[in-house]
Amino acid sequence: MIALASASANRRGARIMRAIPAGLKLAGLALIGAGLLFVENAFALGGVFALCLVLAWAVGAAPLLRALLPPAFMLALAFVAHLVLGDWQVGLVMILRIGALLLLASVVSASTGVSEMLAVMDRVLAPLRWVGVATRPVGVACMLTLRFAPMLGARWQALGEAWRARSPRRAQWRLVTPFVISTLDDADRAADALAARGAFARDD
Amino acid sequence: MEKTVARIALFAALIAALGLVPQIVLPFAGGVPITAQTLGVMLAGLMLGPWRGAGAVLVFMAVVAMGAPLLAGGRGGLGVFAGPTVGFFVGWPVAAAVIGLVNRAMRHQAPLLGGIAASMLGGIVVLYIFGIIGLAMITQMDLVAATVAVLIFIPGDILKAVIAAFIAREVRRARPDLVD
Repeated sequence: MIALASASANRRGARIMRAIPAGLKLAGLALIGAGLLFVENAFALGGVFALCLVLAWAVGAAPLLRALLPPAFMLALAFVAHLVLGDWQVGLVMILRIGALLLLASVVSASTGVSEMLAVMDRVLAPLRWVGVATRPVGVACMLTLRFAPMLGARWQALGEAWRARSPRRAQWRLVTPFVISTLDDADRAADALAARGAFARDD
Repeated sequence: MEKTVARIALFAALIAALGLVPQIVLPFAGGVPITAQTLGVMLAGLMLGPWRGAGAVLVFMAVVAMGAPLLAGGRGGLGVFAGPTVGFFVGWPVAAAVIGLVNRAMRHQAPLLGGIAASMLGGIVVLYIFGIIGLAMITQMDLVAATVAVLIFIPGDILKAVIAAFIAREVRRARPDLVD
């Protein structure tokens, strides 16, 4: 199974964040994200950034912060660009605002399970359902993706092992086409299984 | 219906799996990683067609937004939408749709060249317009600086476009019934 990005479960801050309903967290994130765009004061943004850092630390920061390294590096580089080109204050406001948003978004993601997120998505899509659009396939596709992703890795390994059993040479690109074709066949079989179980028949 | 959903999910998962291919991070280009995931976007457009291809990309994005760390380098979650690469991310479904449309128009005359042209037009021209605007907006650089920062990725993406077209042609030979 895929290891999902998650906060360390035994921290008190993580438990509190987990207890907040997913919809509330997402709505809060959206509101704060939109609100931050209108804040231009570097001190205020610095305060928000510090708060977000504390929050990230409270839910168990280490894995979170590691995932944020590449974007952080990029922001730092953009700050340097602003520094060289003249207006370092624009750079500072930018880095604090985006940094706070990145931290906050990661905290929400780390403290919310995929199943909760799926439930929220289902609720967001509800208006489509009222006008007669089937929304069930969307959720099914998301779950299938989570199931297929590790399966593809296993399939690629199996093909590689079969190749090595037959040939002393390296497979290189030769396995790519059989890989794609066999996974397409897998998907079609999964579709048959879905149809047999009436996947979208009782769409409500 | 079931077949369509399963294939969309398959290509979404393929984009995810391609994120496991070791990535090269170029520090001087601002840490935007060179990944194989764009290859998955190109394949989705070439093999599923414009709308289902874009659908596969959207499903992948939804799963990433929900927190699955499937973006190259084990990234995922909502932070992606606040990061400097958000433009590329948002441009992916549009790129897949353009690739599908161009490929559909050109495939019958020239399967391989059509695939390469489609992948380049959608996966490079269209995608980079989104990516550059996103980078400029997030970091408040001007468009020229943002353009210079991402130029380094073009050669890798040209290579990916050629590979995608080759794979799509081979798979279509083996499964001619694969309508897009």
